[in-house]
Amino acid sequence: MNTTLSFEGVSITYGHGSTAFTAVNGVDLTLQPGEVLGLVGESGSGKSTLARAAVGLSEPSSGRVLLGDAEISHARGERLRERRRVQMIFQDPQSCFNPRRTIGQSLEEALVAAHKREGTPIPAPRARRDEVGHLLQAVALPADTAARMPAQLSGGQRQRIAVARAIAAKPTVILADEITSALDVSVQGAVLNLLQKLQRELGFSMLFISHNLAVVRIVCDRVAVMRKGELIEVGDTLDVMHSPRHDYTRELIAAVPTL
Amino acid sequence: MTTNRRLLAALRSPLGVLAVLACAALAFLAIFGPVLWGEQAAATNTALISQPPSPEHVFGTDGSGRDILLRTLVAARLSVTMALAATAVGVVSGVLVGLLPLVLGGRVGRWIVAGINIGVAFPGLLLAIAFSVILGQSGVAASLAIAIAMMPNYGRLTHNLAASVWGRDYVSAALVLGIPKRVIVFRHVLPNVRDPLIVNAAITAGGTLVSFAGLSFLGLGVQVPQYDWGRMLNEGVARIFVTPAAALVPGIAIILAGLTFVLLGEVLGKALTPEGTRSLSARALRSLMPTRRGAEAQRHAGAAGAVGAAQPAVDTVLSVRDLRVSAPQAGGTLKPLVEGVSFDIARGEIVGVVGESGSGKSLTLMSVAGLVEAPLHVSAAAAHFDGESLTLSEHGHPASLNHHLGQRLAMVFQDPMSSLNPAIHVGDQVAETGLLHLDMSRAGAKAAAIERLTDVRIPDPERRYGQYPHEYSGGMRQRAMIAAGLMGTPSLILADEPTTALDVTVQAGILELLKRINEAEGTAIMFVSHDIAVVTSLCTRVIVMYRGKLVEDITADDLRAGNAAHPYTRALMATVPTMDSPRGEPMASIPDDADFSGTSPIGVIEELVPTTEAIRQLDFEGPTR
Amino acid sequence: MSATSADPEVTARPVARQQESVWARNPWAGYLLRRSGYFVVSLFVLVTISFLLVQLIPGDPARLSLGEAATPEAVEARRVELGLDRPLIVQYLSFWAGLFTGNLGESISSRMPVIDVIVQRAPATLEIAFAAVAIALIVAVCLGLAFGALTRGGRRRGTEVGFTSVSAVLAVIPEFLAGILLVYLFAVTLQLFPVAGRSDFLSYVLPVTALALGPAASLTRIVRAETLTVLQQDYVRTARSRRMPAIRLYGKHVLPNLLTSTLTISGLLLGSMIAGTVLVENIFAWPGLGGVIVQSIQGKDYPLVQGIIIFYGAVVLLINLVIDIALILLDPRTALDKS
Repeated sequence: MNTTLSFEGVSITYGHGSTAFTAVNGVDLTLQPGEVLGLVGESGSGKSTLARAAVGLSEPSSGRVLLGDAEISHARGERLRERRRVQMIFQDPQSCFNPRRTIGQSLEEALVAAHKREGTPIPAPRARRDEVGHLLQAVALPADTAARMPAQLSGGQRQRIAVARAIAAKPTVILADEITSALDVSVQGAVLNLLQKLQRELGFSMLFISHNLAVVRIVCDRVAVMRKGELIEVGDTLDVMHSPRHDYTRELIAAVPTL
Repeated sequence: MTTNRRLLAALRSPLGVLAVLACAALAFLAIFGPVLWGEQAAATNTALISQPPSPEHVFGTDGSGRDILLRTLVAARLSVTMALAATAVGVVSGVLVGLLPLVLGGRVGRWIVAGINIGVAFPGLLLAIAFSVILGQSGVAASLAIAIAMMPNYGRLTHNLAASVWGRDYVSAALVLGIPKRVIVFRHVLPNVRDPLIVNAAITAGGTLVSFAGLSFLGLGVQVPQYDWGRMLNEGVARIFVTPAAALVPGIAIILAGLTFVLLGEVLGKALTPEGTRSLSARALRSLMPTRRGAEAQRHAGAAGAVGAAQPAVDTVLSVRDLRVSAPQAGGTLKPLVEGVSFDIARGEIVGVVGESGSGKSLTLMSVAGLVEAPLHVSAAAAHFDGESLTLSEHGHPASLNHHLGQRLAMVFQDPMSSLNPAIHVGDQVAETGLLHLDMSRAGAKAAAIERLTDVRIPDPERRYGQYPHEYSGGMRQRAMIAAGLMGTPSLILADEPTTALDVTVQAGILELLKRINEAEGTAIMFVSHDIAVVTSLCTRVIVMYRGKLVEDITADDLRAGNAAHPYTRALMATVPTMDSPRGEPMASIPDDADFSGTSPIGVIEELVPTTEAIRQLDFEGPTR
Repeated sequence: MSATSADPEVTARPVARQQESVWARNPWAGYLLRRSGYFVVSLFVLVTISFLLVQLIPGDPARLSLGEAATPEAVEARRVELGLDRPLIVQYLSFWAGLFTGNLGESISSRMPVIDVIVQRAPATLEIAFAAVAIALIVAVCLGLAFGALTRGGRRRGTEVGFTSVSAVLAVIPEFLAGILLVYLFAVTLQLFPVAGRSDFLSYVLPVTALALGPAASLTRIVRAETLTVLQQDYVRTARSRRMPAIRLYGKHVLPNLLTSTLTISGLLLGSMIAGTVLVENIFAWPGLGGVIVQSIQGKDYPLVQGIIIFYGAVVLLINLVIDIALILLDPRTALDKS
C-alpha cells in the first residue's frame, strides 16, 4: 500500500464575501513514506492550517489531500477511516489532554479508536491497561502515570504522552505542530529524541512544523518553507540551509540567533 | 484539592452553612407547608378582616380575614415547585439547544446559533408574556412560558462555554482519532462545561422564582383559588394602605427565596472554581513581620556599617541586594518565588537574565520596576537606581520618584499586542511620558513622539501616530513600545521577553534596534529571556536564574566560550540546539527529576532513549512500503 | 522524490481574488451593514412571532375572545374581524402590509386603532425606561469602577464582602418588589412621594428608582468584575510603568476599556429593564403600555397584544443596535473582531 501523503493544489479560505481570508494558497507538497519533512515559516504563514487539512480540522476550499491514492480531504465513510492513519500532535501541553480524564483513559480512547478502525476486536480492559503501560514505557514514563491527571504532570511529560497517544492510533503519518514551542529548552530534547527514535523504529513519516530552524535542521530530512500561505521552497534540509534559493529563506536563516 | 473536598469545605464555611439551612427550610415549607397549614390558611373569617398583627395572627389578616403568615408559608410550595420546574425544563432544553450546533456543525449549526442569538436579544419577561398569550393564564402555563423564554439564554451560555472547549487541542485530538462528535460532546465537552452550568442554574432558579412571581403578580400566572407569593402580592398591593403586611410579607418571602438560590449559586461557584491567589490573612501577615523587620534592620545596618552595600559606584545604574518575592499559599504560608537575588548593572551594559519558566527572572525585573502587586510580597535589603535609593515592595515606588523614574527608566514587555492600550492611539501612548514627566505641551509631546517613532524606524510616523494598536504589526507595536520608553532619556531599559512573541526575522530587527540604542545613547539594558541564544547574541553579561535563585553571573564571552562554572548553566547551554548541532544524534535534555539547587549539584545531562523492547511490545504493524 | 521537490522554485499560483467592494475596504461600513442586516432579520422574526401568537393559540381565538356564551354568529363575525377567515398566507401578508402603512388593526375592547393606543401611551413608558437605563448605567460605572479599584488584588476584604452582599441582595430584588417596598416606605409611611400616577417630577422618582435599583446593582457587580479584569491587563501594567496619577490611570487607561465590555454585557440587562416597565407600571398605575398589555392579554384583545409586543420588541432591538454602534465608536477593534 502506498502511504505517500500529498497535498495537491490545496487552498484554504476562511470566511466568505468581503471578509474572506486566504490562509493557504495553492500548495503542492508531498511527504514520502518514512521521511521527516520540516515545514517552516513565520506565524500566519499557513503551515498549521495546511497540516490541519490533512486530518479534517480544516477543509480545503480547492485542491485535495491524498494518502496514497485515496483522497482524505472532504472525506466521508470509508475514506474517513483511511484518514485516521494520519495523526496530529498539538502545540499546547496545557490543553492537549482532557483535564477531567486520567492519562490512562485518554490513551485507551486512542487505542480503542485504532482497534475500531482496523476492525480488530477491542481488547479486554486488562489487556488495554497493559497496552497503555507499553505506550507509557515507550515514551519513557512509568506505568503508574496512567492513573495521573494531566494537571499533575509537567509540560514536557504531557507532550511525551501526546506522542504516545498519536502512536496508539497506529498512524502511517504523524503531523507534529510546533510540539516543543511551549516547552522549556531543557526538556525539548527529551520530547524530540523520543519522537525521532519512534519514527525510526516504527517507520511512520512525519511532517514536522516548527518556527525553530535549528531544531528543524537536526530533526528533518527535507524542509519546506511557507510564506503568506504559499510554498516558496522545498529541498533537502542541508541544501536549503546552506544554499537557500529564495530571498525570504535566506532572511529566515540569517535571523537565527547564534550562541 | 479535589472537587469533592472543595465542595465540602465550601459547605462548611459560614456562607455554605447558611445556604444549606436556607435550602432545607425552603424544601421543608414546599413539602410540608400545605399539609400542615393548608386548611387554616384557606379559612376565611369575615369577623377578622384586615386585622393588624396580633398574637393569634403574627402578621395580621388579609382582606378576607385569612392569616397572612400561614398563607405565605403555604404559598411556598407552588412558588418554589413552579420555579424549579421552569428552571429544569429551561436548563435542559437550553443545554441541548446549545450543544446541538457542535454535533450538527455546518450550515444547520450556524442557523441554530443565529436563532439562539435572536432569541437572546428579547428579554425573558417579554417572551414569557408573549408565550402566555398562547398558553393561557395559569400557573403551569406561566411556568412553561418562563422555561421557553429562558431557553435562548441558557442555550447561548452553553454554546459559548462548549465552543471554547471545542477549540481545545484535546477535542481536536479526539476528532483526529475519529471519535464520533456526539461521543466527544458527552465525554470531553460536557464534563468541562458542567461546573459553570450548575452554578448558573442555581442562580437562574432564583431569577425564575422572581419572574414566576412577577407573572402571577400581573395576573398572568396562578389563578384564584390557587395562590402563590405573586398572586398574594397582586391581592395585597391594592390594599397597601390598609394592611401593608398583605403585600410586604409575601414580598419578603420572594426576596428570601430568591436569595437562597443566589447564595447556593455563590457557594457552588466557590466550590467548583479552583481558588485563585488570595491576599494574606492578618495572621499570616503578622507571621511575616519578623522577616520584613529583619530585612529592614539589615538594610539599616548596612547603611550604618558603610560596607559595600552602601552607595553603589557611580558607574552602576542599577544595584539590587537580597531581593525576595514570595506568594501566599493556602494555610498562610509563603512560597518563595525569588530568593535573595543580588546583582549590579553598570552604565551602558546589556545584561541578559535567563532561566526556565518559573525561575523568577521576570519577577525580578518586575520587582525592580515596582510593578509586582499584592498578594505577592516583595522585599530587598537595598536597591539603588541611577542615584536614587529604592525601597522595593509590593506597593510600588513612591509618587515622589515618579518624575525621576518616568524619565530615566523605560520598559518593554513581552506581548506587544496586550501591552498597548487597545482604546488609545499608539502615538498618544508614546507621547504620554512627555506630558506626564517632561512638562511638554500637547503639541510638543506629539512632535517629540513622532520624532521617536522615526528613530525606531516606523514608516510614515505622522499617519501611524493616529492609529490604534490593532492597525500595527507585532514588530511595529514593539518598536512603538520602545519609542515610548525613549521619550525621556532613559539610563536603563527593562525588557521582559520583548521578542518572544515575534517571528525570528522581526526579532532580529528588534534586537538590532536595542543594540543601536545601547551604542548610540549608552543606555543600559536588562534583557529577560528564556532564549539563551538570543541573550548571548545581544548581551555583554548574563545572569542565570534557577528556581528563584541566581546561580551564575557570567560575561557573555565566557558563556559563549563554554566557561560556565555552574552545572545548571552548563546543562542549559548543552540543551540549546544551534545551526551547528550534530544531526542524527540525540539532543541533550535535562531530566524531569534533575535538581541543581543543592550546593553540590546533582543533575546530569541525560540522553533520553526509550527501551527498544517497549516499542516492540506495541504490536505496531507500521506502514507497508 | 516528489514532483514538488524536483522543482523547488514553486511558483505562486494566481488566486481568484474576491471582488473588492467598498464594504471590503472599509471594515466599519461592512460591520454596520452586517449589523443592520441582523437588526432587520430580528425584526422579521419579531413580527412573525407576534403574528403567530394568535395562530398558535389552541382552540378558536375568536370564540376565546368572546367567551363560551357567544352565539355562533357573533363568533363568525369576530373571525372576520380578526381576519381569521382568510388563508394563513393572506393574513400574514396583510399583517405586514398593515405594519408598513401604520395600520395595526383595531382594539377589540376600545375600538381605538392600535397604533393610536401605542402613540398615546408609549411616551410614558419610554420616559421611565430611558431615565432608569441612564441612571443605572451612570451609577453602575461610577460605583463599579470605584469598588473595583478599592478591592483590586484582594485588597480590603471587608469592603469586598460588604459590597458583594449588599449588591447581591439588591440585585435579587425584582422591580415589582422594589416598587412595593418603595411605595410602602416613601409614599405610605413617609408620604414624601405620590403613591401612583404620572404628574410632576416627584411622581417619577419612585417608578424610576424601582426600575433602576436591581439592574444598577447587577451592573455594578459586572463593572467591578470587569474593572478587576482590566486592571490585570498588560496595558495597565504598561501605563503603571509610566508612573501616572491614579485619576489619569483610571480615567484614561481603564475606563474606556471597561465601557466596551460593560456595554456588551449590559445590552441584555437594558432590554430586561424595558420589559420591567410592564411590572412597574402596574404598581404605580403609570399611564404607559404596561397596564394595557396585561389587560389586553386577560381580555383577549389580540390586535392590541400583537401591536404592543411588536413595539416592545422593536424598542429592545433598537437599544441593542445603538449599543453595538456605540461599541465600535468606543473601540474600533470590536468591529474588526466581529468581521
